[in-house]
Amino acid sequence: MPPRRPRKKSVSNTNRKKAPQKKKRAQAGQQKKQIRKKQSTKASIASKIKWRYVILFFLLLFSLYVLFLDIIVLKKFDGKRWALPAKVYARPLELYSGLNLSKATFLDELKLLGFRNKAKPESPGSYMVSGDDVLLTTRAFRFWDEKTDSKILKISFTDYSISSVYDYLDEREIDIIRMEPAIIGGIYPAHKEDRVLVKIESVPELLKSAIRIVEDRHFYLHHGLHYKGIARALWANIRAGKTVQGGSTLTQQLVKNFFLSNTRSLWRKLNEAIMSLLLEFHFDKDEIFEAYINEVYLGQDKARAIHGFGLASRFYFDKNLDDLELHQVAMLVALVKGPSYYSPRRYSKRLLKRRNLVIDLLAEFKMITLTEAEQAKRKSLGIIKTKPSSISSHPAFLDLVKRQLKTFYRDKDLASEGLQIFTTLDPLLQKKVEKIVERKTKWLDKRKHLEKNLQAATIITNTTNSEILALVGGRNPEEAGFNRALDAIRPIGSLIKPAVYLAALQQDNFNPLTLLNDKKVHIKGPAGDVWSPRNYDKKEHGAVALYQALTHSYNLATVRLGLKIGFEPIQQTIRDMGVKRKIPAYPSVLLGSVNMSPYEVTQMYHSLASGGFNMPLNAIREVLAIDGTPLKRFALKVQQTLDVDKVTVLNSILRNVLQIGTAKRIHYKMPPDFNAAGKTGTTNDLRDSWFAGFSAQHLVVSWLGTDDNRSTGLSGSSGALEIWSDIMRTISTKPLVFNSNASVEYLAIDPVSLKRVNVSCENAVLLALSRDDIPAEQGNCQ
Amino acid sequence: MNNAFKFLLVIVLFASLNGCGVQTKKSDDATSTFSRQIKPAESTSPAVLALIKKARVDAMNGELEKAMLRLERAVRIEPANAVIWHYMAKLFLQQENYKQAAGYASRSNSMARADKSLVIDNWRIIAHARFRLGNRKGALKAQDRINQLQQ
Repeated sequence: MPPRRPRKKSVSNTNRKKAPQKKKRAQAGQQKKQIRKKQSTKASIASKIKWRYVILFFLLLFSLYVLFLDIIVLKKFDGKRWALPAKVYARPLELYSGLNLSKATFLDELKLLGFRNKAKPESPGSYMVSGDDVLLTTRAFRFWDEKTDSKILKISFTDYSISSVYDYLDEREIDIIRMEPAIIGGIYPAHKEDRVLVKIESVPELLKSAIRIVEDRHFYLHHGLHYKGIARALWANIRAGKTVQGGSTLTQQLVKNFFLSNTRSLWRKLNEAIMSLLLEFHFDKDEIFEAYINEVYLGQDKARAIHGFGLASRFYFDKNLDDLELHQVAMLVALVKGPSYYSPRRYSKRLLKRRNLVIDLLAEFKMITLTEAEQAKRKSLGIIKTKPSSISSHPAFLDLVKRQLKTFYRDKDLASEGLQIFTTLDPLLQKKVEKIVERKTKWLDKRKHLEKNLQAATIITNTTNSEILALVGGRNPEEAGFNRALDAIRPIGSLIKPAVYLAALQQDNFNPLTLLNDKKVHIKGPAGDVWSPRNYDKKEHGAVALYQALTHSYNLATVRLGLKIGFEPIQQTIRDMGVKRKIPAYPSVLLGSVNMSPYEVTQMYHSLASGGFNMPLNAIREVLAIDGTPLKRFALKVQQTLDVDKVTVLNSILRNVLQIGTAKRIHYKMPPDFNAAGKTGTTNDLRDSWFAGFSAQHLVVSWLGTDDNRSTGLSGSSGALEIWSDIMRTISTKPLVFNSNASVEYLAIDPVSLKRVNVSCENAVLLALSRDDIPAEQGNCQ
Repeated sequence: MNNAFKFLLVIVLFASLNGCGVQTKKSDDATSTFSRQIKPAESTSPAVLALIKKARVDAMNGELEKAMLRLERAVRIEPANAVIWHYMAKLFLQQENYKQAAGYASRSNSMARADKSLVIDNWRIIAHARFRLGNRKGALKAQDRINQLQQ
């Protein structure tokens, strides 16, 4: 407060009173003014300080926000950059002298691997054929156990096999070499983005130039934003009153695809600009360009989004990027503007126009000559009609791979970590089987007037190691969805019988020559109902040898045998055969009124095909991380669960099913050296048709039926056996061999007298018998 | 022969087993990973021999999984080659995976009926594996088989 002034004495009373009042007022006014002035100075200082704080606060907030964006940019860009689907490989083909492989089949494998036929096959992934030889340069590949280098090889063929494998660099014959495995698909995330990653160095110069010319000519000059471009676009848009021009740089486009949604807003534009600058600040141009090439959205394949030029090139042309021709490069670049608007399959004219515009631009910028441009413009789009096989074929097998992996990996990791899954699939065999299933199902469907309702499932395994070589889940193998090989749980009919007979053979009082009674049987159920099964031919056959009852699949003899030995040993045998499902103990089970999937049947029959060993079926060999680090191996598990000798005896009976039994009708069609064992299965009203059978090398299980469980009119023999025999005839498979040994003898038996006879007798039946069970008497040919 | 004596015999047998499971995983006596007595048959193809050779080197370096993988490749080429199955059984024994050792040895036996020394060696693996798995009765039974075969 200012010091008070002393009051002056007044002249007159009024004047004395008035004058000082005026003065006082004036003084008060002045004081007020001063106070106000001081107050306003104070307020302005305060407000200045406040504004500073506000600005500072917002600056801080903005910095924090930029920092936040920076973290996002760094995290996604510096890390994996993409959620990479797991890559699923087929088995690698091993090449060695003596391998049963024709030149034509080998060339099919090379095609699957994307090898190109060249006059000088010097670059990895190229080959040429010269008479009986194939010259090729392999690609380097990292397997679970080792990295193989690229090699220049000469593979020489005889009619059906490889005669030598010669290494040109080492100038010597080599014992064995593993080719890289073919990719058979991927495990995608829910939004099903897919890409084939490419490195910037391997992208053709023409494509890189074309992208820059069309999308961002100043890419190597700006820092993420091209201000002139933005201004020009803004001006054009204002004049047009709508968005007609975009000023986005490649960096901005990448940011938009990578981090932001597709909505058009000022806020998104701002984010885009900041993130573009940040991206350019942290990474060099080539890294950004490479990311752009791999990220850009270029089309849609149903639910699968096609991202990046690498995959687009495979998807539209079934070619690698470096194999693309000028007009194809131009088409891909033309697509960037709008893969839906310029959809190659729907709006080809529209796209052709834009493609030619791109070609003109390339000529204008002297990237190509005018003649080249004219030639390229005359070409059609040249897109392949069907999608390449290596992208998403064999969905049923991939489904199995995913299920087997689920025990060890989360869905998320499978779809994003870029794992490499090495499977057991033989892609060439798979294709053959798919074709057979398609053709035969169509044929049978027509014959039985099933109006395209007949469905199929087939599984093929290697009997040595229980690896699944091929798997078909429906009549249309390309169709994903209901996987009948794994999920069609159907009654198995007579396929159960080998388990009943094996259970009997494992007891001392039964052998293949034991007489059984094939006579009517009536069984009372708990509710008083009577079950009276019949034979397929509706006849009774009286006294028959055990092997005959199984060979001809007699129901009455089987039921009587089953009841004699009891359910417990049969259930135990089925468990020992690898079936995990609980098998109920009621009489109709003896004739197969028990439900299983083709996969379970395969597991069951595998124990016979392997000679008495339970080996869990396997579709995967190894899993590697994205960088090739070995993660997991799925080694073969072997457990002896059945008596090896008894299985040999049983298998010799099952061999007769194909010789003289229910499956004999195909015997004459098979090659002379073909030897296999198997069993037919038919269910009530001919609803399911089964055949399970094996050679020394392959087990094939085939099922036919309808999804709505109606009658197919097909027995195991007239339906599934058709597919089985076609497959066995087409693939090269080692015949089943029965050798006598210390405990089992393979010999000829007369079917009437059941005496041992000379093997040359016309009606003699070949059987493996335990040495204790061999008939003492030698008979004569009947 | 009473059971106690047989059991003693089984224990002595284990000590004599090549690549015996009592060793540490990286075998010091690695040359014994694959039996010195059991050699691949003369009919074995050069491709399989090459793989066996590499597997042996892997095993000597203590890389048992790698060795196993090579033998798996070999067995795909010659599924009925009992010697490869035998070698695999031995590798499992070395990895102390006794269940699989017994399984593979049985599989080898199912193919090697004529080769007595191989069959005996496989039974030794089975006996040892059973003993390690706590199946004393089974181990004694396997020993009986060895005795029978050696007569």
